[in-house]
Amino acid sequence: MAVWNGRGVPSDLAVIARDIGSLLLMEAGLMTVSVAVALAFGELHAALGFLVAGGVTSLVGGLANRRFADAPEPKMKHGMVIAAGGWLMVAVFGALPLFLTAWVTPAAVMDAFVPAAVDTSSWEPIGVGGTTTLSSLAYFRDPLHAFFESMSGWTGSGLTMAIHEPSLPRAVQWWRSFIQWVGGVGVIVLTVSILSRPGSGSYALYRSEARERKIHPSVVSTVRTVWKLVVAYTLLAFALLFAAIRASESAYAESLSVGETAWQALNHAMTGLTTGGFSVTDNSIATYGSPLVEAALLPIMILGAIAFPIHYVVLRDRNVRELIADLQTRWLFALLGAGVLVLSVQNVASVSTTADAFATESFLSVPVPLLDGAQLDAVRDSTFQWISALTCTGFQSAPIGRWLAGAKVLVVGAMVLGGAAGSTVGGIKIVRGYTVARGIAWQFSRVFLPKSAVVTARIGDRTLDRETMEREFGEAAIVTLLWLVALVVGSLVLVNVAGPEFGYADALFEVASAQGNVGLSSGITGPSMSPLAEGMFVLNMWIGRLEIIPVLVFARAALYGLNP
Amino acid sequence: MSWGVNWKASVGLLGVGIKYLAVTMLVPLVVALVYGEDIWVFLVSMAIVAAIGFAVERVDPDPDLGPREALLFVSLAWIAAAAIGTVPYLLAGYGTESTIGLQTGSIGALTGSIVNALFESMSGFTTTGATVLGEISTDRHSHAVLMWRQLTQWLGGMGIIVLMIAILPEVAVNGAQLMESEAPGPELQKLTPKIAETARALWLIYFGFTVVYIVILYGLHVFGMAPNMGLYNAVAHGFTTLPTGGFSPEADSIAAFSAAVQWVVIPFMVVAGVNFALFWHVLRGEAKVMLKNAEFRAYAGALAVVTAVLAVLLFRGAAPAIELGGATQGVAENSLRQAAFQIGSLLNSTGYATADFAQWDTDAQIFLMFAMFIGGSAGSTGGGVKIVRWLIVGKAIRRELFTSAHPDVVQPIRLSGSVVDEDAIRGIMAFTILYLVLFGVSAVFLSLDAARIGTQLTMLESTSASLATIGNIGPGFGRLGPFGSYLFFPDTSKLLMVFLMWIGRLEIVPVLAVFISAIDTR
Repeated sequence: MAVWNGRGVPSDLAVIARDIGSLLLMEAGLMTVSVAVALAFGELHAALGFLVAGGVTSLVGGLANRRFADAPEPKMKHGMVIAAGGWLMVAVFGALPLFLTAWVTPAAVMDAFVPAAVDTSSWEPIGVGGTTTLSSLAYFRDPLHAFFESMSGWTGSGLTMAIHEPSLPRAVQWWRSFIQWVGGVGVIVLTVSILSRPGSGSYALYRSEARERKIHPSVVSTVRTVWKLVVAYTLLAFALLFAAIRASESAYAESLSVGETAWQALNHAMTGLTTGGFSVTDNSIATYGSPLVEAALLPIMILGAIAFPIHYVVLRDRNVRELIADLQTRWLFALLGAGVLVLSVQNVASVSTTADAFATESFLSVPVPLLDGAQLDAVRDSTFQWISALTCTGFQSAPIGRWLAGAKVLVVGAMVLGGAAGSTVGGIKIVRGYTVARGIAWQFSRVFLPKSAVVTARIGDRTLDRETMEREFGEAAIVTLLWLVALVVGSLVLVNVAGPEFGYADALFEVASAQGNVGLSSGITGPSMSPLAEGMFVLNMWIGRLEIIPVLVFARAALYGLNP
Repeated sequence: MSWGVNWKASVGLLGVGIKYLAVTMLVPLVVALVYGEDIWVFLVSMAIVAAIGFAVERVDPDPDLGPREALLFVSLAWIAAAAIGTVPYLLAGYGTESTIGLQTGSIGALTGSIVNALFESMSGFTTTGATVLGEISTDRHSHAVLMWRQLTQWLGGMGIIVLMIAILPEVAVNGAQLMESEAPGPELQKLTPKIAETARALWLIYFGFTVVYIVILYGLHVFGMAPNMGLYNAVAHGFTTLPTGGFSPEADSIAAFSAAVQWVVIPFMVVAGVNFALFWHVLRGEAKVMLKNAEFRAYAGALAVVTAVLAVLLFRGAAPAIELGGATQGVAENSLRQAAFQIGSLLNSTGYATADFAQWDTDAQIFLMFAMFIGGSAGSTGGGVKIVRWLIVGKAIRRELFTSAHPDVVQPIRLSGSVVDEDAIRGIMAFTILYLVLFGVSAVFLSLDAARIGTQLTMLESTSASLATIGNIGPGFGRLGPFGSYLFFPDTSKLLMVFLMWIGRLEIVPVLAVFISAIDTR
């Protein structure tokens, strides 16, 4: 039985509309901030695009918020629907600035965004109203491309439709980084306060009894704490990257002005820390060709893959040992180390059979025993790509499409698992994988015990009784199963529409990357991909970000309503 | 070290089983006498096997089985059967070109031939149907050896343990536990108060279907509708249809026979994927039990839908006009027959073929692979994940969606009207995830291992090899197609697949339970 509030709308719907409306109002605020960025760089067309988009968004959000202002407080049953619906709506409206900017900017102005110093002979011209332009901004005239880019940003994925990022207006570059950054904070809040259920590594910053009933207070307090941490880390990352790029000796890095360096450092700090993966350079991190920049990014990405409640505890107690005490962080480091080793071995062994996947010259001035130049490059690429994949960042420093299928499948494993729950990573998360593995062993080890035997299981420092363990395992198993099924189905669809030059390993890789909110690409994703696959990827990124269940709850609620 | 298991009891009982396996070799011996081929092979094999049986029995002449010992026994029984099954292959092929005959030329040839024989034997007993016989023909192998190959599938189908419980009183004491661990599917339905009677009932139904089937096949031959289906072929296929096996003494599998034969094979393959306990109810006049059974309905529905889609695909030209199978584009009868046959064969893990589906379009092949994931019913002779598991996983997911919005509501999961035990649900989750992970990891290993010896597998080949062995299906795609062979894999890959067939037939649980509990108690 739906409860009606007298205005012709069920009260559940009113609650959801009101809260999603507030989310849209916040997004409109972000757009307004970006107008200032556009004006600061003198990009008047972009400023207009952002202004109109902000106006439309605040209008819709404001209307929904006002009209249902007197709706009751949201309860847990609304939480998931608000999260899933909110992410979707925010991505839809987040596409508006891209779409509008692309349409209000004339072709001649677009061409001005293409950097003069860059060799554009291999770039493909895009038709715009009778003429052509080289600027990738023109791709966003297609609403699906704009929506894809926005979803990829808000979910922290990093797959992109803008092939040549430097040819975008600064405001659009900023918007892409900005939404990944804010989306990253959003997902931490989401996992720590709304999705903290059994089997998901329930990390509540503040454990209050009220949390079960009311979600607003918990969300607000989480946001406050997370915000400070993220801003501080971002500043740190910015300084580190700025220094690394300035100190790099590669031709590209030395050609950059101080202002340009700062701009790139800022954007990559924002998208690296929140494990998003959008970049403002043409070939992601490979553009720099600098081991130093890659090395500087490693700790930034790893920071982003550690649960934020753990950061909070470490900083509050000023005790680094808390890191090792945490199960997920411990496993994160173990997996980082083991994976780098295995992937390096695989790639070093394949150097002779994979043409032009690796550089031929050593990047070190001192010779390294046992490894020649190409093998050394394989180790360097494997290190960066494994860490980028496991932390679900998606910065790319190597042409993964040219790797052997075996190496791709290894990276798929990293993307499916992901980092620690409670951070900005995608995938099924370490704690869930651990719970499933423990649960399976537990399920079998008790075969011979009587049903009444008192048994406990340990996960990290928590000792679980039988009932809790069973519930945690059940929930973790369901999410894992759904994840794998969606991955298999998605890759089977993709392999049929992706074109003959891509094998099944490429399709699997790309779907794992989208659904794990990673952003690495084997080369399938781009404006020329089939619209069916592009739409499917939007769905993959969305369900991946929300860990599937909330999206299904959303779909169920849309069909049958929220009541039993 | 004891590992908490009285392994001597398990091994001692194994000896009893091996002894009786020697008796089953009477069937190929009769064939050998009729055709006058390889008579000494089976005489010697019986002597060797019987001797091994008596020797092993001496380890513990009066075995006393607890639950752990029972699980260990079940796990070992299938390895022992596979190992024993290699004896006739190795002997008969000695000194010939046979790929599964004993080769003593070099160490590599020796191990290679033993691995091949073990693969073929395990594939037989686990009713997989994957083969490493290079050339399947009665010119290369004797009628008797090929009949032994068929017979291993028939013995493995309803389960060698169930057979032992049915006929050996000393095993029947702990029969329920044993049957539980061997029977495909999550739970065992006890049909009668005495487990030995249940086992006997199941074997009788199985036996009855086989006899009826052989009579029909031979009848077709007598009435001139199946020129190739002589008595030998009728019996040989009778041995491998009901156990969802898939071996055939014909190189062209069922494509060697007329359309009439193919239409007869289809319903019997379908029957083989049904829970045999349901037929018991039907025989007692309770047909309603079968019609109301949720798994049976899902099985029938899945077969109908998948067949219909594939028939449409074939009718619209998803298959080239190939020599075996003939043209399907625009030919309604052949499209329907090819679709129904291939789905009836692959969905429940039989593995027969009437067309070389490895040559079909990629999307048709991917569609077939999807069908291979489904599997037969619990309590049938089929392999795979099993329909009842998918049903319960689906219901658990639906419940999850509901309870995540309403955490306070307790909602049991029902199947055919009765509540499913929560512990069983979690067991099914564990099984399904483990199955998918094993499948994925093995596919990667197979592809890397093949690359090691310089063979590049396509993704479809490596995944289907992994799926076809762990699901006890048999044929895969590409070079592993229904008329292809697993011969080209390196020995390490073949051993992995032997392991997959074993663990797939036992549904992982007994094997893992023995290992893990052994580690835990140490």
